[in-house]
Amino acid sequence: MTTTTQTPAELEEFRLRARDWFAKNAKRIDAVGDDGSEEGENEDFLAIARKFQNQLFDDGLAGLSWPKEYGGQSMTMNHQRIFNEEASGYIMPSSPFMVTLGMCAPTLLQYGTETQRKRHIGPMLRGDEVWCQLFSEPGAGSDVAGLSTKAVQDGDEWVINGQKVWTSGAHFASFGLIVTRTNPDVPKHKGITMFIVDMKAPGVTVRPLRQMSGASGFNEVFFDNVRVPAANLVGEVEQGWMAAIGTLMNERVSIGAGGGGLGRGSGTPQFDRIVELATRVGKMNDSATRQQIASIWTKERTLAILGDRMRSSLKSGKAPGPEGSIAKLAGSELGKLVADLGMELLAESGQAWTKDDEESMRWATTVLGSPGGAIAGGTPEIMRNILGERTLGLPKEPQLDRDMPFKDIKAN
Amino acid sequence: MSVMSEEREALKSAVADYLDSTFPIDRVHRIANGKESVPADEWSKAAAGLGLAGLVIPEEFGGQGASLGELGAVLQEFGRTLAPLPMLSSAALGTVPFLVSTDNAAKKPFLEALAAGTATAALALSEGANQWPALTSGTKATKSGDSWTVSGKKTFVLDNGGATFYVVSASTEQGAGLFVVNASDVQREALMAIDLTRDQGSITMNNAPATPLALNADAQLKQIEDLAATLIASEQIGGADAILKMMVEYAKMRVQFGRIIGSFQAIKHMCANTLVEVEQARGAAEDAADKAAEGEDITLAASLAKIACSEVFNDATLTNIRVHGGIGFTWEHPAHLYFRRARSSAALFGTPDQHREALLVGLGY
Repeated sequence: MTTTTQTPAELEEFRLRARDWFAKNAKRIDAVGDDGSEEGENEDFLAIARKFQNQLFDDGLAGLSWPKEYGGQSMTMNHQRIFNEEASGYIMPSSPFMVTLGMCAPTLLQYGTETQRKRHIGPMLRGDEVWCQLFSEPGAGSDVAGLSTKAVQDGDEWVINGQKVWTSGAHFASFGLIVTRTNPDVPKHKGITMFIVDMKAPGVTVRPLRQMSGASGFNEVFFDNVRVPAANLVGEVEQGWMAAIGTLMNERVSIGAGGGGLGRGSGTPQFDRIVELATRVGKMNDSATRQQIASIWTKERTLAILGDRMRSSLKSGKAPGPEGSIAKLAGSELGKLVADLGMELLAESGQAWTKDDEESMRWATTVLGSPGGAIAGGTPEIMRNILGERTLGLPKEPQLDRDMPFKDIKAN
Repeated sequence: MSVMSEEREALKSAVADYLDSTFPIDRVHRIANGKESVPADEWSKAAAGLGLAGLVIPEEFGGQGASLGELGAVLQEFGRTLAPLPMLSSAALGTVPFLVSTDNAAKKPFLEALAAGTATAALALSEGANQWPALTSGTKATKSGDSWTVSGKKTFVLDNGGATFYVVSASTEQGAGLFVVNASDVQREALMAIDLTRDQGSITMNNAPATPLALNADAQLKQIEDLAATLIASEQIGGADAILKMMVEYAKMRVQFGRIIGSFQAIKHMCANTLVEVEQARGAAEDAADKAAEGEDITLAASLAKIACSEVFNDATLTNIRVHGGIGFTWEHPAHLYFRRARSSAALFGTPDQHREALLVGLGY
């Protein structure tokens, strides 16, 4: 992160450049109700997103605040803020790169080797490489450190066996960041190692996982004697847990504040959507409804302000702290409010509708997607533990497994 | 998570040091109980030492010329400590009408006295409950020759008993006006208040001599209401932050069932929820104060801040009592002083429900 100063004239010039770029290369938002939940399923969407990201990179507008030597622009947070402001009102087809740029790339920047950064960050920023993160397992959900996917050293290689789950974008990712158990004889946090894994390597099998909303944004990934070169180690052997925490903190900032590196502008899309629905069903003059609608505006705005404050403290060089958990909790609270009020306003037509009623269909997707939105990236209860323990310094619950060798811990 | 400038942090911390040493909570409690009183010269000493009384008064009138952003930061500290000095009532609410007024000759003597800490102003807008923004119809200002008089009644005036003069809204033949009326020309009546740390009262004026600050002042009155909501929100978030610290400190110290109670998720999650609300409301409060300092229209930002800060302060002061259990609802514990302040501040300058309705109207719905 550079902190070179820039004159107002330079910033204004940059603003005009960004404005011009969006006018030429992006589509205006003209439809409400897009929550992005089906984007991951669509190969065409990936192609569109990749083309968009290629153009962004080639025109020098990707990775604005990231170091130049790895393909970024070494610009300031003011540039990023201006870029986000100009992006407002345009469709940003960036969701396939959220994990890559919001989580994996920052982890490589912080923990990767120079060779890994030089090799991967540029292609990530250009949208040529999509990455996924391979953390959760069927037996290790809230307790990710209880993971049991094994990696065993064999000469210059490591051999991986096990299963990961809840992996966004694994079906179109070229690489993944995986955390593995490399030493079962030490307590669980201490025997974990992180690797870069080639998703096309022999022994990797990806299966889509269908969610209650019907969407398939996540996958199960199976590892059957997958061989990874030792040069793909991220950080030190058995030091993978710290790197994983860093990735997860970046994830919470991204999920909570609506888009990490790319940003989503300063509008109030949830409020706009609810107002449109309330107007259509004739409830815009109902005082109880008006109170709830105004609450959605206040929560959406405070979350946006929080996101801006968080990004500006991140971009001033601070590593992400547990504040991401605040944004994530506030974001899932807002999601629940919107889903509940939407169903209330739709009444019967929220639960059954005619085939041509796309609006009701979209609301059903929102309502059915809302529980998953709160759980993905860590349940609200885990977020509250993180805030209570890391931010407020409250003691942990007594833990039965903390100092026990991993192999002796009770497991699923 | 703070995004304040270093200068503002320095001011805030100097004010914190002064308040912590002068008004520790047990002293505030004794003062609230009438067992001790604030020395008459405390405010003028603070005015001379830290420049608090004239913080946002322009230098040409003897003040510090600081911005409303700085004022918001200082009010957070007053909210944190419940210090019984007229920072909100006089240096903030009583002063902003003079900043909004363009009549330099009229405001000069008042601002100079305020900046020196030798006088305090009180803002008297409200004419009764459930009217927000405040009406002016019950207070009439009349011009006779070159001089004005005001008649009518105002209520819910903060630090009423100690005010030297009042800034009063009144109706005139040409719309609303803002006037200054001396305390010696009004009849004061104290109110019973839920908040024990701040005096409240009403005033009755019968042809009280008045100095006009602004005429045709509907726009200025709206601006003053927005600023009042923003400034009281700054004080509220300071109080909520203090309460978060109080509950966390207790949760780290109290042992039951052989464990520190903060290790129970039930307690930990109460604290974490309060943190989530506090951080969001802090953003809303500081955003509104910064926008006000930049001279932007703060209609929406002020309502947002007042809603968020009222709700978090109310919620936090209740949660704090629950974390404390039995000791939390005793008279001797300071928890109720904050619980009381929270309920008082939430009701003043627009309740959350009133601001939510105003927001939708302000957004064009």
